[in-house]
Amino acid sequence: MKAFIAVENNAGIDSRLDNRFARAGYFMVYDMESDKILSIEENRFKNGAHGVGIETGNYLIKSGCKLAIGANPGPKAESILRAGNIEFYIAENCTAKEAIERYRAKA
Amino acid sequence: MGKTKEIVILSGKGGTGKTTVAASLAELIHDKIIVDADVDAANMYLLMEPENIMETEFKGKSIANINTSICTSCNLCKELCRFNAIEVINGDYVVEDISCDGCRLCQTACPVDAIEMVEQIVGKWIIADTRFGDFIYARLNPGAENSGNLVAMVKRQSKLTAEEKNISTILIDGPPGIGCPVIASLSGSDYVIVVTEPSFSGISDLKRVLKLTEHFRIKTGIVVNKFDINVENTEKIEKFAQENKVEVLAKIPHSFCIIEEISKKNIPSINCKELKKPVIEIYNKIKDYFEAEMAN
Amino acid sequence: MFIAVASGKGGTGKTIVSTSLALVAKNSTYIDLDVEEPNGYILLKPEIEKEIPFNLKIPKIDEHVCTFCGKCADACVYNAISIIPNLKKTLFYPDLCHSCGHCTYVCPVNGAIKEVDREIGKIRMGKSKELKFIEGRIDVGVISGVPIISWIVNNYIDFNEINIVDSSPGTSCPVVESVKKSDYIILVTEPTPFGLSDLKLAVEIAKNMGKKAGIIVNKDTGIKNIDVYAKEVNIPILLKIPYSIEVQKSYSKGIPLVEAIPEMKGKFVELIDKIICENGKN
Repeated sequence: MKAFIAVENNAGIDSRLDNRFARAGYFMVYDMESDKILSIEENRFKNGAHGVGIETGNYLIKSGCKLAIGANPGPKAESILRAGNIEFYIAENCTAKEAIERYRAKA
Repeated sequence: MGKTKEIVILSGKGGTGKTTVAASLAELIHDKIIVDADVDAANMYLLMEPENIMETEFKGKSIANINTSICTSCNLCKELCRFNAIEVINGDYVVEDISCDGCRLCQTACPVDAIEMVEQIVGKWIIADTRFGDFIYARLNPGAENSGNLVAMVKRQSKLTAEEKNISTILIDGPPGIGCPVIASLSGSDYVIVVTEPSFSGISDLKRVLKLTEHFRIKTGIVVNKFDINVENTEKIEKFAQENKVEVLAKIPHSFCIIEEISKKNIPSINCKELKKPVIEIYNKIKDYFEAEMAN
Repeated sequence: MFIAVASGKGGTGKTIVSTSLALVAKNSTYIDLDVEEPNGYILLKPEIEKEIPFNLKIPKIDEHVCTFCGKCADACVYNAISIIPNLKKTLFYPDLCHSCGHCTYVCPVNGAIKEVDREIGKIRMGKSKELKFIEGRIDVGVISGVPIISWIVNNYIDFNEINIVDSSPGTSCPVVESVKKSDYIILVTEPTPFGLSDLKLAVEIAKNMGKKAGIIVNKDTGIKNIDVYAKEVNIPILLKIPYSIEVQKSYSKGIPLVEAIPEMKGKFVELIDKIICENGKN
């Protein structure tokens, strides 16, 4: 399964989670099976005027991820995640690595 | 250290004393960033005496531009445009900048690729020092649209500065009305102060603004300015507030002192006792609310 | 004849001025295009004869026909559409839609997107004694007042008659839209630093559009900052309304200025005659 992680900076697995979801600094796609980062890309929607939650949601759907990890999403991003049956794990104030560990501990 | 608190001051109708209340509160709160988000007609800088101004140009939406040397005058773009933004001037197809909404339909439809989208500079946002602390405001070029976008930009900037300098409060002088700029100023806010006056229009506008803050579920308090001009209507506002479970934070009397002080570009609460007292009341009530929230 | 009453800043007395002008002008129509906060009706108390819903077209996606290709979502610059292909779901956010028609245009499947009406506001028409009354009003949370303003300007204004238009406050798009077709702009301001700063923006718009304009100073306290500026930019000051608690009290009770303060009536009659004489087409 691939996870979509909304992070603040690009520091590999030690990137910190952003406190905004749709407007996060970077998006990381992480393969939970092989424990590998597949990509980290700058969020090109973060300075958008309107509908950023939707843009990010659409992007997430296209990425094929089934799990999203990050700060609480806004209502619009949330509606897309829900419609797309994307599992959401809310995590803040930690690194991507810690968030993945917490998610696994919970599951 | 809690999260930075965002307080937005709104009015619905303009001219109710929103900026007066905002500037007076700014003078009371020590640890804050002041934001003038009334980007259509930013006025607070007149009282703030900003220094060390740093301006950044702000690009808004992209609008269509037709390359007349490629255009075959097929008229398709003009037929399709829902904003009536395409005109024929001396046989040339041109886009009227003011009307173009930037939807790109014409660009998609153009059979000869004669249309490109060009980003517009719609204004600038400014960060400056004042004797009251950091001050962020924006100016929109006259007639330019997209003020909601600029409001979001200014808010984002204030948040960054607050995080950087560990500042606890962002005080935002919001735009008038209830449209897009107001919605942009509300998103992510923690408290809304609605400044109203006891006129019929003041009341009807107040109701419209409250509908909006209720929609976004943001804690809201009311300030009645010039309450003594029409005591009967002030009572109506108080009754309406009670019915809707919104607190009236303070009532400010009509005062020549306030007008005189503003004309001298002074913050009126410093020299006008009749304003100072209610402003302190507002300040204390909001402080109590945040403290109670923190305790929960 | 189309006279637009505007002000850079809200609360300067735009509605007081426009209702007064409409009340003294013979056979005129008062048109409230301050669509976010139309307040003229409070002073004019019109009998509403007709209320027409104002609709915009929004897309409706038929999920039985749609192939979930996502072209509509990609085309929408406002991000109002979301398509989830693997689950065959579509999401639409009407509050973000600008009714541009781009999605319908790019849809490759016949009948997958239909355009339907969405009510975003109302146009009310009526009469206040002899005066004709038109008002545009948008619903709370609607992004832009421009479509309803431009619809009213293009469809409801009889240019052979005298039209007094109460425009939106501020200096952005809605104002431009409501003064675009005007013959004359009256800028209402107050003699404070705020009033002057906003007046400058409004004057810039009027000049950019090549419109003739005049200034009315409301809440006149004797401070001359507006006079100095008006002289500089060569725009006439048409009238000064003195600062008085009486004016504010009558406004708060919903009484028009020309009825509350009779001496103002004569001044407004003079003013409207002068504007029509100097700028009228007929």
